[in-house]
Amino acid sequence: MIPLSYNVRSILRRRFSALATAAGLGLVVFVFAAVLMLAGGVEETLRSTGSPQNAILLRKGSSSELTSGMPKEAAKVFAADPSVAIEGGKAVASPELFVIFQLLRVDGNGTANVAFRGFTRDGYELVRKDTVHVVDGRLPQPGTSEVMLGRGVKGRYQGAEVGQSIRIARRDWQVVGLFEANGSGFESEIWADADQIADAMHRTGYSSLTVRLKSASELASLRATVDADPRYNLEAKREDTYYEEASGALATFIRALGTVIAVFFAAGATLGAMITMYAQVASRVREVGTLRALGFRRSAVMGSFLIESVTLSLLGAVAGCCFAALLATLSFTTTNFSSFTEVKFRFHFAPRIAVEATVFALAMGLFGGLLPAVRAARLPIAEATKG
Amino acid sequence: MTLAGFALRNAFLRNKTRSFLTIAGTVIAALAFVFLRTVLSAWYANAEASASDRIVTRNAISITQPLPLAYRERIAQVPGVTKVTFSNWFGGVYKDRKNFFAQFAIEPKTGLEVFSIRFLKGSKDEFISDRNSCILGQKLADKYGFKTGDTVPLQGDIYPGDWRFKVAGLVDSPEDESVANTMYFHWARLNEGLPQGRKDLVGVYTTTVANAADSPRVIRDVDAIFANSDNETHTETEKAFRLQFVTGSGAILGALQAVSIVILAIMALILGNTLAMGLRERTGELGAMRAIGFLPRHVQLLAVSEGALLGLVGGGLGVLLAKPVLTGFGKALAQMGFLAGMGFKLDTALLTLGVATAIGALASAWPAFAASKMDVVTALRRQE
Repeated sequence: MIPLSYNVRSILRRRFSALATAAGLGLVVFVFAAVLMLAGGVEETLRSTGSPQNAILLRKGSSSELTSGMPKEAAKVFAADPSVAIEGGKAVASPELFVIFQLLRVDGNGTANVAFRGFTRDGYELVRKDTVHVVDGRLPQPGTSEVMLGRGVKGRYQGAEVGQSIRIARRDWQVVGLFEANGSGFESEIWADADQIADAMHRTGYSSLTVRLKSASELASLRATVDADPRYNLEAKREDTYYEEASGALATFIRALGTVIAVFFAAGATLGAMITMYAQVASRVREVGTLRALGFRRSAVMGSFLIESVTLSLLGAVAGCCFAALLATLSFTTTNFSSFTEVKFRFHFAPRIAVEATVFALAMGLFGGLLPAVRAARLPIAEATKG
Repeated sequence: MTLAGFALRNAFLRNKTRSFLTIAGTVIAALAFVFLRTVLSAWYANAEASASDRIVTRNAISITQPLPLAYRERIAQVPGVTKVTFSNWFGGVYKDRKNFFAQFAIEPKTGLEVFSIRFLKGSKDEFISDRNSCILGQKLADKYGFKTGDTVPLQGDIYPGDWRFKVAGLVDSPEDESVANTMYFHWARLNEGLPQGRKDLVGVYTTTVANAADSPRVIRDVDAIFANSDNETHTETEKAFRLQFVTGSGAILGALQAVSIVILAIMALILGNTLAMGLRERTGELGAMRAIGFLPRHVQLLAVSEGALLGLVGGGLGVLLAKPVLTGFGKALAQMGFLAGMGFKLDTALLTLGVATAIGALASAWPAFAASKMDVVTALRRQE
């Protein structure tokens, strides 16, 4: 085998070409990883919004809480179902009202659809307290127009700061608290007393009922009861499944678009690597001839050139992954197609993504280096030594 | 041989493998660029297509909150308003949730006029006279294979229940591309199928204004009528109304913009790298050129035109290939329910061509400068 120091020196000798090639490959890795992180972030945010032990009841056929609705007595009836857990003598259930308010963006880009969730004090204490923690201020008082903001909402819209107020539906909603919810979709919502929202929106009833089951396996029995009840046209779903479905369209879209872009990029960068490696072979014809004359085999020459292109792609992969990992500190806010509201997502970095991106880069380096390496290996010794 | 001819030979014939690879790389970058630009413009197409003399009135609380039917007469009385129509977003599901397309319940007489809907098959009268009928955008009908006389079943989501509509006509609009991907049916049919509490409610009012310059005043007047009522309104131009659906996805659009710039950077790296290698290998030759009287600017011109040529040819081939690729991808996307209006556009093609040429020239600027600054004697002596 030809010593590795030969490759290192060769790369150092042609700094510009080597840098351009590695940078090209690095950009590809960066974009590839960023896309995976984006789609992963969307799924992670919405999946963590739900819990496997909870069930959510919606109107049958409705795709989201937004289009769902149920009378108040339906919420009472199903909260009392034997499959629902009981704590301190109360059924662990949270009836909620989900509506959209249009708020003015602070950045001057017009208005945005923001999710408002009406909750009850009991529902919060029994079901939501574990995930939703007030980090600044306090909970809204029942029976008042007080609201609390999710962390992702703060500062984005006019009045969205603790101590200020949001004017909508002819009321001033006093912001009294700020909450976080483990990075879940709730953090992009504004929470208020359910009755107050219903009143302001001229609505009766709730959008959904979320219950904690005695155990996850009780879902089937709850589902059967809900299906069989002729009074209300509702259905029960596992809460995490519901939120996962809600992320499907957006995540698929990002993934589809991202994959197409990554394929284009990969093809471009592979060609770039090929150009560089062909040039390396062409400018080192005499060197290759000398190596062969010294007794190195064709396979050794080929291996050496392949190692060189793979090294370049690895350099690119490391640089690309490092920059992509920096993205994990960023978040982005976009409309979730299914709930129609703005949701804040984070880039979600996982080791799996780094591995996938690196494998991707190695493949590009191998493909890019293969043909030039074959050419180098097949150079006839006699002519090559003449240069 | 002219200098241009020399550049041409150098760019394409000197090292055929490398020229081929470089052009292939540029073609791919150009393809990707056209693709991203097309996706971006498809996103904005709906907003761009809006008419300047139309304004939209919705509930101030949010787009999902309806307005009373009675507002129609009061909006019509505002001076400067010529026609008022209204529509409700239906949001029904055809067979599977994946088959997404826009459905609106409209008031046919005024709606057909205000939205400038043109009949390609069937007739206005057939649609207006049968309240169980609907009209389908031409592209939408093509996609699902609907013909006039067929029945379109929809599963209600916002408006629960099973709804069936008979296709009375296929339509498009000379002004608004989105019409060709939309389904319209009778608002009266929707209204009679709703429970008491949900009757006589309207999604948005669309109003035409006699003089577009007058819109800001009309907008203020309309909102002033309903200020401090139970249902306050928010009125805006149709363009602003449609744009808010785009700005919601602003983060994704921003990312696509950024990626399209990155593609240009990759194109520049590929072209610049090729040029730099080509010129370095020809050091001796360039020295000879200088020795027989060519000036540094000639060498620069030679190198820059080589870069521009490579960029132009690569960009041109990319644009040619883009059409079939885009059509195929557009179909796939439309199948998933996204961006139905995606299509090859001439201005995107021209932009790509221009940008590719410019990048070819720019990427060769540094190698060209370096080559022109070379000392003649050293260049002639240097061997590699």
